[in-house]
Amino acid sequence: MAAQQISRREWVHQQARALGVAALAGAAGCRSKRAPGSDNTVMVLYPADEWVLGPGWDVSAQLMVFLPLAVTNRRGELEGRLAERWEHSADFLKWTIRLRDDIRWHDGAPVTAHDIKFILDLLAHPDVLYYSPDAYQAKLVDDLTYTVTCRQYACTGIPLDDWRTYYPKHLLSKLDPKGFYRWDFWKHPVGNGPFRHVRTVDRTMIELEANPDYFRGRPKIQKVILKFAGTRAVPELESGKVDAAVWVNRADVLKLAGDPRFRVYQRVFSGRDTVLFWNHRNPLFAETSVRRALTLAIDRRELYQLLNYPAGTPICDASPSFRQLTRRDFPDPIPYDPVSANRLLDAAGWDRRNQQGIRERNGKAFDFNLVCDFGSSGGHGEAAVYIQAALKRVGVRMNIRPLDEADVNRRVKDGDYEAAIGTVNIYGASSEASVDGTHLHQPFDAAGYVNPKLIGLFGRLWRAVDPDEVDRVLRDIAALFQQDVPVTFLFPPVAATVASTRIRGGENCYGEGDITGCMESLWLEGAG
Amino acid sequence: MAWYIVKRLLQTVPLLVGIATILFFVMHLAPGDPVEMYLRKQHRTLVTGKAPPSQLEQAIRHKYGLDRPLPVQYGMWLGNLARGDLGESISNRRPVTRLIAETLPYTLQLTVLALILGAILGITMGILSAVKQHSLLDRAVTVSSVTLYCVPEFWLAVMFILVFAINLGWFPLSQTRSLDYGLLPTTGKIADRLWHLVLPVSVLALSSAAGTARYMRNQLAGVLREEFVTAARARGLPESRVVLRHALRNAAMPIVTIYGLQLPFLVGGAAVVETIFAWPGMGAMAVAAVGDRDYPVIMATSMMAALLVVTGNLLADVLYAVVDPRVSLHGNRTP
Amino acid sequence: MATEPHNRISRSPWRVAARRFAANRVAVAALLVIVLLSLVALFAPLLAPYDPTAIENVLKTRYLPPSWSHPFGTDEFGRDLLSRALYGARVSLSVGVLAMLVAVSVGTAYGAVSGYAGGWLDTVMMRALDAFTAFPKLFLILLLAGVYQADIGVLILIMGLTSWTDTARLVRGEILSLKHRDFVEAARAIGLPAHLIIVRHLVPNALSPVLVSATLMVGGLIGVEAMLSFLGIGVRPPAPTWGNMIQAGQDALFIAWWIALFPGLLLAITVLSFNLVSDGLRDALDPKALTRRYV
Repeated sequence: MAAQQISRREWVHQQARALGVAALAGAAGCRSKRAPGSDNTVMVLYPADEWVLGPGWDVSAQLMVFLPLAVTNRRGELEGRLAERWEHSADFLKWTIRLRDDIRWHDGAPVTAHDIKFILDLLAHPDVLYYSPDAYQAKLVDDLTYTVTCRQYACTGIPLDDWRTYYPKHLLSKLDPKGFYRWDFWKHPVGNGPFRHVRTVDRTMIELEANPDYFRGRPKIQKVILKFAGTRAVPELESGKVDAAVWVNRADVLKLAGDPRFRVYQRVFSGRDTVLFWNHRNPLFAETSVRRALTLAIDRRELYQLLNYPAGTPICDASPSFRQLTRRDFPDPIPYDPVSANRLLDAAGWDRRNQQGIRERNGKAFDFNLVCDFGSSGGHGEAAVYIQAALKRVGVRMNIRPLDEADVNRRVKDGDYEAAIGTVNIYGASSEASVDGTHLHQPFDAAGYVNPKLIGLFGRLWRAVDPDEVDRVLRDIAALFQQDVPVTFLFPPVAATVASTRIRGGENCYGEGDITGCMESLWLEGAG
Repeated sequence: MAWYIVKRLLQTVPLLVGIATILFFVMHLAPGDPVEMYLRKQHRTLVTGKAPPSQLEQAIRHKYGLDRPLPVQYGMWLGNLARGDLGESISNRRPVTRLIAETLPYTLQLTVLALILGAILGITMGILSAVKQHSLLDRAVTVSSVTLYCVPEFWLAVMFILVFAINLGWFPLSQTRSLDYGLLPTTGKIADRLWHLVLPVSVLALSSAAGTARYMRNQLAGVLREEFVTAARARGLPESRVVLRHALRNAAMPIVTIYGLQLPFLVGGAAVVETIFAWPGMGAMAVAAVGDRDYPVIMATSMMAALLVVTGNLLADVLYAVVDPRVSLHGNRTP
Repeated sequence: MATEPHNRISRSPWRVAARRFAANRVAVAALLVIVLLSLVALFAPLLAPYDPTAIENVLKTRYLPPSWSHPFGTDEFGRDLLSRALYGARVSLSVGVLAMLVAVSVGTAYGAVSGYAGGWLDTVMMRALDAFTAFPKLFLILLLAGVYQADIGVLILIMGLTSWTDTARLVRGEILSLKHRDFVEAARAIGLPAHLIIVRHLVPNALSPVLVSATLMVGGLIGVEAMLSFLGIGVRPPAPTWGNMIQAGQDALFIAWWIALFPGLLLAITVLSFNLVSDGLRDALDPKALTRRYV
């Protein structure tokens, strides 16, 4: 009887294995087989769900099916898509936009200003609350022209936001706004973009095909299939079930980077950098030379490698614009120089060391707490651990206090920390929009660095529309930061997409989205 | 009996109200702001510099009643609860009842299967082990069940993934279905679902079986030592009948009540396993809600869990009374 | 067993129990393991071969598989995992033991008062206990720890305050059965106040089942703490605990299987030892147990 019992467990597993094999066989046999040679389909693993084309997700997949008013091109200029031309009042509060007359929805109806106004009203509807209800007012001028009037800076970026896509009024006007985020329309959308929706299989995939009437020309890729899976990209890519995966996590990037069948595209984003905030009111960090020394002690190149960032990722001591990033037009960063760091610290009076090798001044040790969000995938935790070791080598002790992201943000806002790892949002729009850009220097004020020159520069930045002016201001800000080192810039955000080498044109993608954002300019090697 | 049940049910109402009250105040006195979570979840790209305007915050607060004073919110919460309205999830913007209805079946798939398999395995092992005390089988079963019992379940799950999914590749890493599930024929779909069920259910079932086997073995071993068993044997009854008919019934009683108390496990017990296998069940939803400070979801799942505990207790008591005629339902509830 | 001289000292129930425990080889082995772990945890700074926070030349030292120089391998920063595991032992053991002490103290006090008082007070307290038990324990811990962002002290309190109910029932049961014994009547006859009777006479006698339950509880609490850290709710990184080391290992499962393996083994061994000791104590202290062998 004993033999029987033990083998019962074995039996269960045997049956499972058999079922597994059967499932695989079934799956292999009945999946849409790829016809060799004439295959012109790209399968992308998207960690989302079948609502990904709707407004519940703010991702670039939507840009395959829907068009925004304008996009920012490589040179940093706005290029019209739905919009043909636009103008704004002197105070940037009133925008008048004229649409192109040759764009149609996939069902043939023309795209008009009625659609835009309808969507703008809907997004501010109290049951939808995508935007604040009283942020703006949209008015029709004629079939292709409309105006948006904003309340103070309540709708920064909304008028020409290159992520905001618009939807057909004639198909949506009768629906109840209450269920906006779960309208069935998002699973079977009718758009106006380079790809048309073919079908959605719940929880499994969305199939799109090239739109032959796309006003910029039919895309070279015939079909795009978005597949949904929660997590790991590695098994799906390696087995060939998908051709590309977006938002791949860092450990997987490490594994896939060594595989010659794949190419890792890492996109560096501008304007939302992770920085180390020093509290200037704390006597430890009051002196510029000390802050510079601490920055010199951190090898940011090695930190980038630790985070599996691509080799060419720029190290900056400020936030360059997207244009400056592409042109590599930014000043040389503060180098990694622990010798100078030690020298500066000694000169600042921290020349004695205690028993554990930690620097002392007037009997007080150089010991402080750093708050950061450990759980984020943004790498704050890794950076904190790395910096802790780096600072220990120059005789500075840093203790890490992990907190939730919301708590860290609150502390940064209130200046309630000794040191903190957080993000600064210099180049993008912000939730605390103000008329003269005070929100931009608020985190620095909270840190105790109140510099009228910086405040003036941020004001100019906020008002600048001309990209050259923006770049000029950013350059001035960078110079100021390198001189005063109010915070230590650690790393910019980087998102990784891993794609098969069969997909070409990926290196020409620009903009901040993932590979789906530029699908209209990609092609497959060897596809007919 | 019926009167007893009614009486107990009536007693549970003030109990549940008390639990709801404590829950409410515990949640709302905790730090962390759900509105911030809402605003962050609105934009789910990896990076976007574009956050919504702050006037939005006020509108959201008003919509969820978070701008009212605490006692008013409490009143609203109790009133809604009585009506069965569990509110709307702050991070998902969907009614909580819908979320529960969607996630509960997934959890039940795991827990019911695990309980059944675990019970079969555990009881069988326990019986065999008690009957063949001190034999090799007994030792093997005891050692393995004690070890499995002590191994942390989440680690067992990770190790199973490592060995069976990554190294051997026999089973999938996670999720409830394959990438191409929707394209499979019906038989393929069923096979695919079962294939994905194997690992998580195995982990749960083994843990559950380990405890049951131990308990069953000790209980039965104890009963087998009693006099009436010796008497039955002396009467010449075959061993199998002695064990199965007489001894087992006595040993089974506590086990029966234990399974009655497993009711809450059905809903929340697999939380960690669900999280590891990315299984969209209620436990995983509750864990995510805790991280998101999604009050409506947290409170609704807690109330559900409390309700199940109370029901489970009642069930266990009733079952015990049914199985053991010596027990009076009106007696002392001491163990 | 050799014949023993019949004197009162050898008949003391504690001595008898101790001898029976000592005869139980498995339990003794488990106890030794626990002692060893405690020593290791206590002397972790001296025993650890590397500094658990030391990072040197990350790219060359990260994700190294187990070897002679790094028996448990290294993690994503190149930190030695054996050293981190040793420090992790400190957290696990201290949280488990301290939380158990909180639970047992509260539970004993509650159960003793309720059991001795009897009457309406007992009924009220028991009803309150029932209400408290209606909270699903694990759920409650998850909730409280997650929502209140517990640091270690608060975590211990939360874990202790959700685990006292079994002890309370146990103690109450014991006290109920002891309440009417002769020695208690005698104490009352002398005029000893109630609280002294409880503390001096009743509780010590009720202790044996509590001891068994307490050692078992430590094992359970260590498991709970590990689970909380694993979920990111308990002790968070970079402080090493076995639970969050397993979580870090899960992320790197494709590249580094050793990160998740060893902390789990240590956890299993620790919890197993506490369970075996608890069983041994139960067998040793239980007057009804006819067999002295564990299996």
